[in-house]
Amino acid sequence: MSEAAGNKSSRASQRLRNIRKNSISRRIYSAAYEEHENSNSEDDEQDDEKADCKDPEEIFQNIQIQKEIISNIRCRPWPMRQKLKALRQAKEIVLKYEGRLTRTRGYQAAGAEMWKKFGRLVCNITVLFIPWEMRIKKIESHFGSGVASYFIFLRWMFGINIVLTIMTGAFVILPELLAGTPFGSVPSKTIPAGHVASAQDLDTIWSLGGYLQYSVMFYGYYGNERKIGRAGYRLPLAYFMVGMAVFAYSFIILLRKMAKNSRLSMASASDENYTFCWKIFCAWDYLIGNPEAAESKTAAVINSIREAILEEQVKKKDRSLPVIISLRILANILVLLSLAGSIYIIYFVVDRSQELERTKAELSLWEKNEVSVVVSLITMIAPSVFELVAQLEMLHPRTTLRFQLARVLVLYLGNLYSLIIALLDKVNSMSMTDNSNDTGTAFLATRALPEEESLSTIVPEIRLRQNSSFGSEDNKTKPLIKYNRTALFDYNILSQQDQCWETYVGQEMLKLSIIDMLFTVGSILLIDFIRGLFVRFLSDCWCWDLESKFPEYGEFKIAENVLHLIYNQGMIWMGAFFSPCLPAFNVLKLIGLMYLRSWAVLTCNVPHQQVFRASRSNNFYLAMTLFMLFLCMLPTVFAIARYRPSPSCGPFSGQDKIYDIISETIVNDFPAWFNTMMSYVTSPVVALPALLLLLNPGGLQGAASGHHRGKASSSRANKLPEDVHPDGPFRKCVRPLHYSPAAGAPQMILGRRVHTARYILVNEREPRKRLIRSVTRIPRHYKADETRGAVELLPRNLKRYAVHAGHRTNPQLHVSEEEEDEDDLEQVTFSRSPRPHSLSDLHQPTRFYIGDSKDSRILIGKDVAQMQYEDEDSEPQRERADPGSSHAQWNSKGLAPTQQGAGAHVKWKTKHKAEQSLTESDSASIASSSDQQNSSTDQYIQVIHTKDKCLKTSNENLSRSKSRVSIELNAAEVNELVCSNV
Amino acid sequence: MKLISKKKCKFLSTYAQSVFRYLANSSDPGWKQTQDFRRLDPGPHHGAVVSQQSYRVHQKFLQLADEVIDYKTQHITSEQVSSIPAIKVNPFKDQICKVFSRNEQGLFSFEDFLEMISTFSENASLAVKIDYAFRIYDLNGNNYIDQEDIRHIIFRLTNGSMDEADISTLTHYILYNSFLSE
Repeated sequence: MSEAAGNKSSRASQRLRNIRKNSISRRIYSAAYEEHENSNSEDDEQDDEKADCKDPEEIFQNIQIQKEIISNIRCRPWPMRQKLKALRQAKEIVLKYEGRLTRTRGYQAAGAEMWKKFGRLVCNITVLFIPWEMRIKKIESHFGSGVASYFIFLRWMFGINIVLTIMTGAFVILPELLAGTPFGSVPSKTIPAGHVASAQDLDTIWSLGGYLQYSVMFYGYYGNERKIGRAGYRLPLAYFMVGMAVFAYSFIILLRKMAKNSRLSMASASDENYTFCWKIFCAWDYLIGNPEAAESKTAAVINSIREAILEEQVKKKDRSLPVIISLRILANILVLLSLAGSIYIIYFVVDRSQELERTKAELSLWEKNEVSVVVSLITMIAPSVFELVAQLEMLHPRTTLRFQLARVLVLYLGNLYSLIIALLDKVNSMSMTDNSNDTGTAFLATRALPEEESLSTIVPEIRLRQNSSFGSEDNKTKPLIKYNRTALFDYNILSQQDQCWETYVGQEMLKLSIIDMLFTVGSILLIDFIRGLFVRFLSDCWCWDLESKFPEYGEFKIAENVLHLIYNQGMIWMGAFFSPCLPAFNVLKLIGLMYLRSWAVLTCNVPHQQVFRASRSNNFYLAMTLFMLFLCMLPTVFAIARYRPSPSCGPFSGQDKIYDIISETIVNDFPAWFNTMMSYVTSPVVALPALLLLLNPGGLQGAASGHHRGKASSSRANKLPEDVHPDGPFRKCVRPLHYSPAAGAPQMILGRRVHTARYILVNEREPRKRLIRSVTRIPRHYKADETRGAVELLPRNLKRYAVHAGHRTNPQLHVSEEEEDEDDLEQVTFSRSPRPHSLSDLHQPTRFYIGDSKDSRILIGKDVAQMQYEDEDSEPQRERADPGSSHAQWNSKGLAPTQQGAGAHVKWKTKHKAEQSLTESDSASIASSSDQQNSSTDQYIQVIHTKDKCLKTSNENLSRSKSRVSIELNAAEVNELVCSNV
Repeated sequence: MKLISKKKCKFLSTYAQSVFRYLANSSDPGWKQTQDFRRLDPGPHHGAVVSQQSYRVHQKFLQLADEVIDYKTQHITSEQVSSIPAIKVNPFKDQICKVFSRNEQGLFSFEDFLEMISTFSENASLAVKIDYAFRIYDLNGNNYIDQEDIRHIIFRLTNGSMDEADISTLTHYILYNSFLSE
């Protein structure tokens, strides 16, 4: 490792030399810029001459700069013509010099160009294949991005379901169809004799019985042979793996999407600060292209502004109204009551249906479907009830919406949960009958039909009890016995086929999904379409204005609809293990929904009046989906883990638990050593530390991102995650390093995350004494510039440091620690001082540190020049009204000579001051983004970063093992670093 | 007097992402503008490979222009640009035209038009969007968004149905807001 580090450091030192030459290339750069300004090509040729140097390093630098221009040109608010010109010129320069370095580089470039073109072509083609793109665009242009976000979400869901369908289809359904035992060959795949006659009846099919029940759609159909077909496909294993993969895939894709979105929506964090700015400057949806939509948007804007003003006034008055409070309490009680009621109703209905199934021979259509119908009805009606109740509360519209969403989500979850719990309850009773089946048929009869008289001989105690309880019924024995007979017959058939509780759960889920689909279609037609027709055609001959008063047109409620989609997906997740065709069904359902909804929206809906800022970059939907996924996974996983698979059907029949398939496969099909290894790995000795290890980076990342978020005010910050906040950790690196030679001990920088190595690079060229001085100065200076994020980060570093320091007895270290404490105090006071943090402010420390050393001084000059450049080009057409820029100019002129001849302490100090002022003026003068500048400094940093990581890893190793040996090694490494640089 | 200068409009960055989506998006499917300026690189001017996107912009440009003489010198008027549906209903359409046309008479060359489309595209960089957002909201063109500008913005957004008292309160709040944020 040390070798690698040495290698890298030598490369870095080479880099350093490049930096020195940068000033020359900088000249080219700025001159090239002037050319853009003046549109005069003579300058260009002059530049070419200037740039025509022999040194390949310089050419390389130049090329790099030109490449930067090329890559950054998009981010500049120049007129298109200017951009084109600058771009063409930069490309020419690159082309001209790139070939001169090596021949292969030219080929590389050509290849890259080809590749880029190919990528573009592919990109263009894929755009054509995005489903419903045009439809969504049309909606977007009518209703704005809010409504469109629903459809985009729908499409995204559709994509997920496609993948799920492919997974289940390819690995479970197809193998079973192709290689599994055919229909009718084994009992579990045959329709029982008593049911054959009715197997094709419509109501049997409708309730997913008959042929459908004994098909690949449900769990029960799959065979339990370990291998099927000639190839020996392990279907049970595949079934289990796919079932788990469905969840895993959904999780991963959701989290990835959320991560992507959170990168986009940094802005939302600072919402609250700029309420009014938001309301005004972001009010207009630039996508609206329809006069009607524009009108309603205007109305919405007025509403939201009025509300905001009212809210502000209310905030000032800060009055408390007992009436409102009591109303809210009442509303919440009502909501809770309706929630509890809905849960109770569902439980009751499931219970009743079980009872009916057990006791009644012929079930009517209603009785077969009442569970799903009731559940769907509740999901339809309850949200409107909540909405009515919410009017009592008189909250702010946005809060109302949030409450509403939360309530609806709870309702949906309650529905699903009470349903699944009721189903599992039934499963429970089923598996109990299975158990009794094993012990003896008589007991089964007891459980199933306690009224049966035959059991009295076998179990006298029960008979006794029954005599007492059913004694009153004895006088009407005759009808009862008859009734019992049929029930007994029925039950015998049931006990054969219906023991497949997995199939039963799958059937219920699929049924629920179908009924839900019907209700959705019905509600769209009834509530939206018929109402729209009614309002439009009867408004002329009605007593009041239908369009603006009572029925109006249906609003498109984005949030509720999204929630419904999520609920729908929840059902799929819940049932997918028991019914592999559920994702496929959902795909069809979503396609239908897409067309129906988009048609309904375009024909008979008006946009929602309330502002619900749901853009694509909104994680709100996704967070809810994740929540749903998690909660829907629980019952399924619980059922898998807890219940015994049905003994007579399904791929896992005969096993004790479903997941036994894994251990069985490992035991039987893997070599013995793997088996023993697995037993070690799964033992707590390994598992616990592994878990901790997994948790660790997550926590670190979370902290880092939190810190990051605090600082970053624009999305640009994402590009340079480590460079944005170099101050905190960097400051820390300073001291250990400079003590290290003095103490003669390996003062490794434990847990320093950023830029450690860079500092080595920079400082070792300075005489030690001065170094100390500058080092003690740097933090002071920097604290002023640090934002709060750095303070947050600090304690962590300090702690680590302390731990390490405890290990060795180094008096100097303690001193440094105390110093650090002082620094912290100071820092706190400093960080409170109000300072404007412009975008460029974030990057100053980087520049400063590089500028700290003698050899990179040119870089400062460069930066100043660049700053000038920045300042000019950010407003190419306007006059510079800023005093700051002239200040910066002055600095660049005044500084350059001093820097060149630096060496003495005094000069060093003055330079410091100058730089300080420079940074200040800089922050004042550059407000528009300075991407180019950043990336130019990054260039050097990036190279060093790699080494950084190396150091970091070694540090981690060190801290973990804490062995003397590795410390020695590290010492050697550091020394090597230093030496190679000198 | 309180003003919002360009330097101070940091808050603009917080939402520019959401404000300027691609305006250039109408029911025309090909109209999905990918901004990528680099796609132009050989450029329509060289007659070489023209990427699909810029080609579509060009088509649209020609479609907006009444009679085509020569697309290099062809200009379209602000009125013609305003006939794009999304701009037509925009309360700031005149300002948009003013900002993007580099010509005093409000004529758009193809490059201006392309610039406009690309700025409104989804993929345009935040910096560009902020810059143009600022310019659009800087109605009186003094490089600041001042009280007058804000009043006009509110006036336009609400279609004039806001009373004067409310507008002045709101203006006050906005300026107060943006000063708090420093």
